Amino acid sequence: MPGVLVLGYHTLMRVKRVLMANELTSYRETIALVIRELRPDVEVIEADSGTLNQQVLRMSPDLVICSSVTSVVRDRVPNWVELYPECQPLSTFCIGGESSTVDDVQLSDLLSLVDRMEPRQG
Amino acid sequence: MTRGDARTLPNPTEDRSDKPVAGEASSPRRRTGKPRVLMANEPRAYREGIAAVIGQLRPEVEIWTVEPDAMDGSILRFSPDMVVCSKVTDALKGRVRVWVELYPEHAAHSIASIGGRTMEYAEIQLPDLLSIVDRAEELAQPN
Repeated sequence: MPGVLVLGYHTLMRVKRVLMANELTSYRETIALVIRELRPDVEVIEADSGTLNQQVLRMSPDLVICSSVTSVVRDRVPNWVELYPECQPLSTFCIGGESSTVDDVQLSDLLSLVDRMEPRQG
Repeated sequence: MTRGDARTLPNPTEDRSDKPVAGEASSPRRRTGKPRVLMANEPRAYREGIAAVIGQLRPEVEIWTVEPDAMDGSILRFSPDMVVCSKVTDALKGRVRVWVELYPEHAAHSIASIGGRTMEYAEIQLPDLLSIVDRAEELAQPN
C-alpha cells in the first residue's frame, strides 16, 4: 500500500506525502530532490501544475507546494505553500488551515514545514 | 516563521560577498584545487536548493551563494568557474567561461554559455544544470 509505513503488528502509520507542482521544471525537480535526500522518510511526488488538482484527488498529499493555489488544494489539503506566486517574493504558507505570508522564503522554511506537518491518519 | 533545521543540508558558502576570503586575491583555485560555482539566481529558496543539490551530487565542487546584486563583486573576488544567475552582466560575460542565465525575467527559457558557445534551453532541467557543472569542471582543469 503506497504511503503507509508498517511499524509493528498493529500499528500502521501513514508516511508524510508531499506533492510538488511548482513552476518551473528545474525548480520543482530541485526542491523535490532536496526533500528526498534530506527527509528520506517523506514521499515526494512531482506533477506539472496543469495536473495539480487531479494529483491532489488521487494522492491525498499532506503538503502541496505550488506556484498558484487552487480551490481543490484549499479544500482538500491540510498544508500547502504557494511559493513565489507570479514570481513574486511573497509566498503563502497554510499550515493546518492557518495561513501566513513569508517574504523571501528560504529552503529551510520548506524543510521546517515538512518536519512540522502531521501525516493524515490512514 | 522559524527558520528550520536543515540537518544534513550541504552547506554552500552563503552570501559571503562582503567578506574577503583568505588568499583568494592571488589565486583561490590554487588554494583549494576545487572548481567553483557561484549561485546568484533568484528567488532565494531555489538558489539555495540548487546549491544544495550540486553540493550533494558534485561534492568536489565548491559552491557559493550570493544575492544577485552582489554577483559582480563576487565574480571579481571569487573567480568562479561557473555562475548561475537570473540576469547576465558585462562583468559575468567578460570574466566567467561558463554561466547559466536561469529563467531570465521569469520566463521558461534559459541560456547557457560554455566556453564561449551559447545554448538556449526551452525549459532547462536539473540534469542539464548538472551537466553544465561537469563541463565547467572539465574546463577548469589545468591543461
